[in-house]
Amino acid sequence: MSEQDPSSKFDFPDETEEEETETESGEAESGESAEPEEAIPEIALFRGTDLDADEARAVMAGSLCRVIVLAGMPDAGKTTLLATLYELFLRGPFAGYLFAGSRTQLGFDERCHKARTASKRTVPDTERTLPTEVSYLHLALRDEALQQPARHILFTDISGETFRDQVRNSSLETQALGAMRRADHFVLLIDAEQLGNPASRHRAITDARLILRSCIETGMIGMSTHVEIVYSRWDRAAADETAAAMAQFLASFEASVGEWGAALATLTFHRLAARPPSGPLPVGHGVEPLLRCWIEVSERERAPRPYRATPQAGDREMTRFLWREEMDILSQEAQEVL
Amino acid sequence: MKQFISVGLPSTGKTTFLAALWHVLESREVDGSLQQRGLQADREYLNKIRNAWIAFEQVPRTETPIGGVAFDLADPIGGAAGRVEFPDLPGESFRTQWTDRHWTEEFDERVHAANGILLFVAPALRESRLIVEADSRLPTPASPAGPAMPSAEVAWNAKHSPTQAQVVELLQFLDDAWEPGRPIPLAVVISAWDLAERFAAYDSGAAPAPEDWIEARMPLLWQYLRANTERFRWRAYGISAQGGDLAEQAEVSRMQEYAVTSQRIRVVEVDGESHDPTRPLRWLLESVGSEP
Repeated sequence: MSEQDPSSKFDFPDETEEEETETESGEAESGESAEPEEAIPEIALFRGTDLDADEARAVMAGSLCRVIVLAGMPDAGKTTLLATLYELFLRGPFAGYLFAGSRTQLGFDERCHKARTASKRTVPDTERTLPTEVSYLHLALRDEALQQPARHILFTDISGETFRDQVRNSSLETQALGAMRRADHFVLLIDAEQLGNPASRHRAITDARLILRSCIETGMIGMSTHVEIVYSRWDRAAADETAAAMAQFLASFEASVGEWGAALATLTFHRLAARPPSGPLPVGHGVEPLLRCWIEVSERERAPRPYRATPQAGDREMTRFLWREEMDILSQEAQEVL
Repeated sequence: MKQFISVGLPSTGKTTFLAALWHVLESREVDGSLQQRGLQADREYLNKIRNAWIAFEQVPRTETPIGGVAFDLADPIGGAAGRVEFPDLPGESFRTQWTDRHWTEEFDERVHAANGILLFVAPALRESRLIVEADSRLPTPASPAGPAMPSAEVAWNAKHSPTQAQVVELLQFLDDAWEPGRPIPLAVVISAWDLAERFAAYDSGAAPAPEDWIEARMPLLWQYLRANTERFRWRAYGISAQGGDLAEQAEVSRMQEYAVTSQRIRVVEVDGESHDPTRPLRWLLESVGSEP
């Protein structure tokens, strides 16, 4: 069943879509007939799914770029935050920024699916990130006033299992996650629903503290990294009667990690309800200040290298030298990360 | 000669537009419209779709000629000339670009040869709706009242992605193929404009300008075009090639009374309204100007 604007009952298609039948798995079967007899030469287009490390390096080398590492235990809300961010831009400019493009729209779209009515779910969910190689989602954003060029943002989507099983438990494993070294922002999400439950809050805080400490002590994050600790699912944080106890608990936690702020560019705390059920909080509550912080604050601001054409025969030796030098610099910088 | 290429997802009005365009070019009923420099040798397809259009019937989906349809157009006053191509790619092929991530070499060659783009969109849009906003009575995960998962969850399929995401992706593909540094003239045709106006009227009581419609109804596309203003030079046109709802006999009767057939065509742009479907093509010609 297609998910269409209800006004579509009035449309006048002059090119009818092929009849589709939905299988139980939800896959559509086209009414289109046989394959062409001869293969038609084709040109591949960019994949649209998550970027791998090489593709991410190319983005970093050629543009004003931010790398945002989302960290946290499973179900902390990392992927939900990314999906919600994309959904917000589907609705219009957000936080003073315009959507200027993305090389990973398919990646975002798939992550959004289980929270949409098109999934036929009654309760929203988010596709879990598999513990595989680190991948990146890409957004290009530009200020609404068009005063600045577009800024490219790369979000890592590292599985919670990786943080739970590797980063929390092993410094060696932490160091293997080279993506964090290039992070402009390290965003540590903690499920506020667990914080609101006395039975689980101590474990939640302990896990978060270990992850943060492991990343700091292994040098994965440091003076050039802005760290945001985000209490996610704030809509489920605590009932009114336990709110005071939770506030006191969080104050104690923030004081205990606050001393690590000296080892970082900044350390701040945020509340987030990316996708609250209907109630007082809107979808994307808390996302705007985070996004602004990610775009506008960095210790690594670097203008993109100007495009320099490949030398041609007859070019002066200096031209060739400068080109080689620039390629070397780009290669070295890109290799320092990831 | 300048060349322009038309693109658009399924059911975005390309064929109906083509029928109306052919009528205006062949009949020369509309003063000031671009004119065709010589008839096509084979006009069977064009006449077939025009015959349906002129009879107030839905324009049929018929097989386009191999190689598509092209018009060599000229401005009788200014003298500018250009060729607009409607490739023999069904709308489904543009959707396949989104799902399968490839296009044909032939289309690639046409893109590289093009000086501008005619993009078709339609008021019927596949949109994203969040479950949490769909019904305030939905059970929360903590509630025992409702099931956590229905029995027939639909798996993700790229075919069902929001329309505006697919359209933006199409433009990103074109941007990748376009010569770096050269602006892309883009005429956006919002088809079934009478329908778009009707629904806008339900919401706000006022008929929107075409650019405002895109901002309101396809905000991702609007943002993308605005943010990439140095790359895309664009203008929007609301076009009702049919002129009204063919299912409403009263509207059909109204259109049948027009003394001039082309009067049923409505073309709305920021600075006025006409019956001339060549307006977006004229703008593309002017935008390209003296480019080589």
